[in-house]
Amino acid sequence: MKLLDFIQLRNSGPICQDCAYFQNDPALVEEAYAGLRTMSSGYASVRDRDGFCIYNQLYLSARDSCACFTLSEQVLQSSIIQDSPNGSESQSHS
Amino acid sequence: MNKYKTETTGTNQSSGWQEFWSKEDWWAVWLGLGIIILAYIFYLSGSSISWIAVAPAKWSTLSQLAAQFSVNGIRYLALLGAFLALFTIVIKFIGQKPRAFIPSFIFVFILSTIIYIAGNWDQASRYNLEPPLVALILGLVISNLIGLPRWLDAGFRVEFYIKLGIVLLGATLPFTLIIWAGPVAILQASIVSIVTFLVIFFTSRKLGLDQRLAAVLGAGGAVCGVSASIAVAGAVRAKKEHPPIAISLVVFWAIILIFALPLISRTLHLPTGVGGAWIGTSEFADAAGLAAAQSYGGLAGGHLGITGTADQALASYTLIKVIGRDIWIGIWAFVLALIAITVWERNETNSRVQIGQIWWRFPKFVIGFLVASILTTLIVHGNTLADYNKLVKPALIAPIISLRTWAFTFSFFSIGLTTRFRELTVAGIKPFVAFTAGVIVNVILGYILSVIVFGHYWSSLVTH
Repeated sequence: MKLLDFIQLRNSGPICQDCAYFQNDPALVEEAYAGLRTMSSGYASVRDRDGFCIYNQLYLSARDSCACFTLSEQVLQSSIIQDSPNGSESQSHS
Repeated sequence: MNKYKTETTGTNQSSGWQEFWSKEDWWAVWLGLGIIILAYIFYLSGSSISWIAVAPAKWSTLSQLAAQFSVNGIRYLALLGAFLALFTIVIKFIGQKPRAFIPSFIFVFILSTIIYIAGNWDQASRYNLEPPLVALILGLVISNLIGLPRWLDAGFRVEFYIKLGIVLLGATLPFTLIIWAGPVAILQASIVSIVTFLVIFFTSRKLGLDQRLAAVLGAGGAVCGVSASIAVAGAVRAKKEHPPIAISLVVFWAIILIFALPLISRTLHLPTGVGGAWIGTSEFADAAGLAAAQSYGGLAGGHLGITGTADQALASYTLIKVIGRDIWIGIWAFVLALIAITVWERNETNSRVQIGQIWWRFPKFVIGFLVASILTTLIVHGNTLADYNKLVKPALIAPIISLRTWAFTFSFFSIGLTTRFRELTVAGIKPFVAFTAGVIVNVILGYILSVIVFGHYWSSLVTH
């Protein structure tokens, strides 16, 4: 097992942040985890963009990914707008 | 588990650049350094920001106090207005509601002023009215016995206030001190962090707890409390129910240690620098530890026979906690994420770790703390000690210390206001036992290193 094989600079594929099952609004995380704002914060750098996967019931990084990825409506809409004649280049994940 | 729930809301689609205005850490840097630069501009022009950086003076009778406020009342209003304007901008940018924040912050400011005043009563030390502990207890009483409407929580931003205070604290610590004492702080903190983590992790495993929960608990006890728990939870893909268990245990023990560590230090007559180092090693969260360290530092030079200065307690605490522990959270998260995918079972997600999280999870306010220290070291460089005490300190450093004390007081009071014991998740006996084992080892090992091994070092810190 080569340790370096498990390390990458950043995830190049579809990521949880764009998934329909992912929630990472800091206010929502603070609401869900009583005590978080007592000695830390939903808006702290250490939390990066982590959030909830309501599909797998995990708390994980927005930069993670899995086989159950489902493009969120929000990202889909913004991709459509950007693909329109007045929009810029597409950023959608296939 | 709702596997078939459709589109969710509440996703923050922030990009890399947006971190600069969507995270409290960066706002603490912008505001803290902005205040220091403004203070320096005023200083260069022969003036000072001391007019607005008002603070209660020592008083012994109510008539003295009334006289103070009749003269300075307008300055307190100006200070409230300045804080309100700056903080409301922050709240707006990070995505919260200014309408809820404004009345809440006014409440925090008024109560903090009363706490500040109580701390400056000349009989305060006789009655143990140490402002950080008074702030905490008052907050705890209000939130747990009286109760406040939930919307008022908007102004109780413990972490933001404490990070702003730490950046301002950087302006009062010589950078040479950080260079001189930093390696020892890192060594001491690393020994305790690694041992504490291993104790909690392996006790948890022995008790049959999940590896990821064991890691989340271990990080909470070993690195930087709730922040470490939540960071590691994200890195190792913890189950959704794991972080609240660690959060409850950290908050529970941190509140106990805020009172216990200064009390034991006081009983043992530890010098303030040594007491601060012990608190920095063994307390969990930044805000909780600062409350304990400031409280202990405040006992210096009184009738209790505690040697050292208040600044030494804050300096040794900050060096150990911020430089020795906080800045390594990204490394901890990365290493544990790597262990999670290479050693522990992993089914739900992909199988590679992103090295970028060392930076993504780095507590950025530390950058402000270091830059602030470098800035003031450069500004002060070239002044004699006499010039420093006569010119630089009253015009430049003292107002920054005053604003720092305000920020810390807001934070300590907010800890109490947000600690609602009945709302904390019931951790369960096994996590409690594992975490408590780590607390015991942490406190004992922290004492041995701070007092016996490096005691001479921490008691001789030069903070000016």
